[in-house]
Amino acid sequence: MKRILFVLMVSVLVIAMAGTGLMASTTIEFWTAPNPFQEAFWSEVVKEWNSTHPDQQIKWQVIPAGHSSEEVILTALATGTGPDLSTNIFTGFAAQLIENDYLVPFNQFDGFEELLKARAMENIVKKGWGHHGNYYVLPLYTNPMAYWWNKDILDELGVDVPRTYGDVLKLGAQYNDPSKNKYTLLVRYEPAWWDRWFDFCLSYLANSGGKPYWDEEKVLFNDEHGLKYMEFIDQLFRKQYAPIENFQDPLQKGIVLGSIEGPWNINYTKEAYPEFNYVIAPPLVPDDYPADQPIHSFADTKGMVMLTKDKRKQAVAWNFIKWFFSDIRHDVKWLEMTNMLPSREDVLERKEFAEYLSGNPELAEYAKLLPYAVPPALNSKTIELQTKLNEVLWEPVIYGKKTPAKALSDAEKELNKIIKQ
Amino acid sequence: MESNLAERRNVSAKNLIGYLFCSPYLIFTLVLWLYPFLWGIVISFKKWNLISPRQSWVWLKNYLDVLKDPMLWVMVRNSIYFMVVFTTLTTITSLGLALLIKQVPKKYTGFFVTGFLLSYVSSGVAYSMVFNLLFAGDGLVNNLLKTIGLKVGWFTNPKIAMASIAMIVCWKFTGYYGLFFLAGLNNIDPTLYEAAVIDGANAWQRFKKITVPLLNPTFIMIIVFATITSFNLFTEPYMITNGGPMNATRTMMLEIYHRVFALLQAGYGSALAIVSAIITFGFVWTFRKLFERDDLYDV
Amino acid sequence: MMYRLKKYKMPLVYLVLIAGLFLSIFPYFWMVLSSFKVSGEIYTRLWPTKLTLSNYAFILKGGTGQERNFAGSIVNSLIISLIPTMSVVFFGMLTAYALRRIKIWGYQFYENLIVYQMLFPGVLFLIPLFLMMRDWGMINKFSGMIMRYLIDPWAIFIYVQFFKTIPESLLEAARIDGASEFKIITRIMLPLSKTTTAIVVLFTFMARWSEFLWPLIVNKDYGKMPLSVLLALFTKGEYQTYPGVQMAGATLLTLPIVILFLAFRKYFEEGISFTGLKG
Repeated sequence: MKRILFVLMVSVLVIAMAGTGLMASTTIEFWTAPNPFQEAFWSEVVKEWNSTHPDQQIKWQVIPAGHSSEEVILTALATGTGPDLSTNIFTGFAAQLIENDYLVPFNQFDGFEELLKARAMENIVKKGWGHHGNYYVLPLYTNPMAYWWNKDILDELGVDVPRTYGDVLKLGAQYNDPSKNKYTLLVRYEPAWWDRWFDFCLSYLANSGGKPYWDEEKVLFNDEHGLKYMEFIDQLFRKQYAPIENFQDPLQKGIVLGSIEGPWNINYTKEAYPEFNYVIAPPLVPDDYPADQPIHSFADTKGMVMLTKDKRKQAVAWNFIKWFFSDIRHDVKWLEMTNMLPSREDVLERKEFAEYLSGNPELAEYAKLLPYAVPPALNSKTIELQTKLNEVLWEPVIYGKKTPAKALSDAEKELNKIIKQ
Repeated sequence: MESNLAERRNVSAKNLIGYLFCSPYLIFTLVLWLYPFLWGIVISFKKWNLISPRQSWVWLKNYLDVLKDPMLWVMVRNSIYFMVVFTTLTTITSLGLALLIKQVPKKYTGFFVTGFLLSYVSSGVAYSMVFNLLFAGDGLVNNLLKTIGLKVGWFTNPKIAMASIAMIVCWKFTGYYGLFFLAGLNNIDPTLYEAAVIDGANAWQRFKKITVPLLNPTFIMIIVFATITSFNLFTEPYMITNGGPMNATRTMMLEIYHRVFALLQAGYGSALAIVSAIITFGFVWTFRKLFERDDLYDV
Repeated sequence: MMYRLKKYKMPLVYLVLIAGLFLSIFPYFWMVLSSFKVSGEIYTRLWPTKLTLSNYAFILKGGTGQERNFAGSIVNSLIISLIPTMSVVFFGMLTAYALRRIKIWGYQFYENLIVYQMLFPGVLFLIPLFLMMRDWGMINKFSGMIMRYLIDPWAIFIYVQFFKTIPESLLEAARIDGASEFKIITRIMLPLSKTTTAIVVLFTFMARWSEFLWPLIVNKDYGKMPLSVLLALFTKGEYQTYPGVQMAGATLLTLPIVILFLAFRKYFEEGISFTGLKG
């Protein structure tokens, strides 16, 4: 009996002490992108912060997302169980959150301007991430997207890396054989809305010299730039140059010769397909695109936002943000662990990055595209728009239900309806 | 007189105990059944973005939007496609299974029944993942088909994606419905067959005239199940196709989930749920009218 | 001629049955085999050249950084499966007894109500129940995942059907001996309805263990996720390119329920003919 009493008293004491310990410190919820490499990165960074800031703790987890992290964040906010701080936010989603009054502008905090300078992101933030004079998002990384081509097979065929749509069609005529699982180009047909960033949006930007495909008022893509790309897509599928079955890693397995990839696939490919040789090239363009002009691409870029209205939590979050963004070591570590390019203007200049890039020629190729990489066109209804885009433009052309011209004008009509709602 | 009173007291005491036993169920029904049911109807008359405090009455607008959306008919078409493929496949496989097991001596039936029932217990998440890999473009099934020069985009060809899903659901349920058919077969009076043989009926005639009609209840079960499942299908398309290609596997449940939890349109989602329930009832009612033979029931 | 056909009939029956059984079990077999393969061999060959435990190690470690406690999620799955299972059995019996044996005032109305409840599609309740869980502060809690499944009209229905068959004289005898109604349930009805209870337990447990949509919606806390949801997020969200790991997870999700089924299979085959109705 005495023993039980003793155990009870000790446990009460321990709980009480733990309780007072918690009272003094503030804990914030921090969510990050569901990606294996980013997960590993944040795991280490948060551990470092928590061990050096006992009174400002971070409870970190990967966004519990199945298909889309935006959907999960919205539901969590709807139930009052959302994060205080989150990464993986693109401009359009940020705009949606701002419209619903969920985000906290960073420029109201002390040291905002200094932080922009310290991380060399003043231009990036002020040009690309403003919202009516306020700044709600701090960009974390900027990934230009690029084509990968199977070097070994191209060499075997004695063909240069394709530059235009015509090159690809010629290559297809020479190489393609669906019965042997030999295809020319991978075109993703998944109905995930974000996939359209990496094909349609990217190609429109490439063809148009970086013009946005829509703005906050209306759709802009129904023109020759959009048409040329969709006609190319139509050709690819009518001639079966693009596979319609789902394969895992078709490029690496030699099922397709080319595909659009992000730099995050470099590490994975190295690990899973060490033998695979590839060339990284800018996006394909129409045959009449001037050869001496630079080619634009799409930039997959996501940032960090603050969602808590609690002043104490805001202070902790801001301290963490300052600590994280102002130290170049974190960006170097980010680069090394995720193989994604930090959103800084000095990526190509600082020797800290140069060192890593020189040892990683693939990523250096991506870095070269940075000056021509355009972030997603701003619209708070991006998710709805791209879901619709998929339904009225992308799939009908891929499955041969509509001509490219008809699909484009239908898409313009339907998407404008959504924007005007 | 006295005993009557005691009796009455006894009855009311029993009622008291009975209602005490029933009270959890009654509370549950009021709070977690009737209330949400009514609230669901109320929400369907509103325009409400889940994350904003603004709610406004729009009355029938959500219903009109649902009926005007071409997606509704796409989903109904998908559901009918699923029903047809699933019902046909499952009737063939499970009836065939039952007929075969019936031939086997009793001591072995347990082994086969258990073996075929194993697929029934698998979880949607698990078997969706397995079939997704098996039916991939360079998965095992296509690798086998390649040897005879065939290739099928099981989950990527919009014409057959829903049939593929029906097929894997059939894989799950073959043993289960086989067991029902087997029970049905065992219940058929053998003298019926003997009499038919005497009348000179051949095997096919006996099957058509005796076996099939007497298995009617199991057939109805499958068709009703197929109808309800086809509108409520969620895990399989969520895990494998996410509603694609060309919305060929978009189901009501998937769309409701998407509308409510991705686009936060609670009112539209609720209206769609109610429309979906009404359509389901309509189908079930029609099928029962068409196929059910009351004279065989004694329940 | 007829004679020779007869001779071949039984071998043919066995051949077709065994071929069918092979098809039926093959996905399981392939799943388990693949979970021990290295990634490169899952697509390319049926028989592995070497076996590895790394897929299981990866999944039990929980990925690349964050702790995803797969072992813990099995416990979570058990919590959200076992509590409703016990509750469904208990209240199912209690209610069915009151309706069918005590025949409380208006019992016919309630029995009809139960049939209606069984027929009402769940889709009608998804959104309002989600909003209720939100308003009651049950998001990210076990209570939110469990609450709506504590009582199942289907189970009450099954017990009502079974209690119909028990002779009243048995109960009268017990009452004369002074047994309370509750005692009659636990001492007489429970032992008598072993098969029915086994069926209710098996179906309820299976449904809760495999449940995906509801816990996906009402819980976003990794620490409380059941295995099905954790696995789906793991494979759809982040680790799409790890087929071996996916198959290891699928095996973990399937195994407990297969074991349960094998343990209960006798009751299953006995009971299925009269309990019928569960899709």
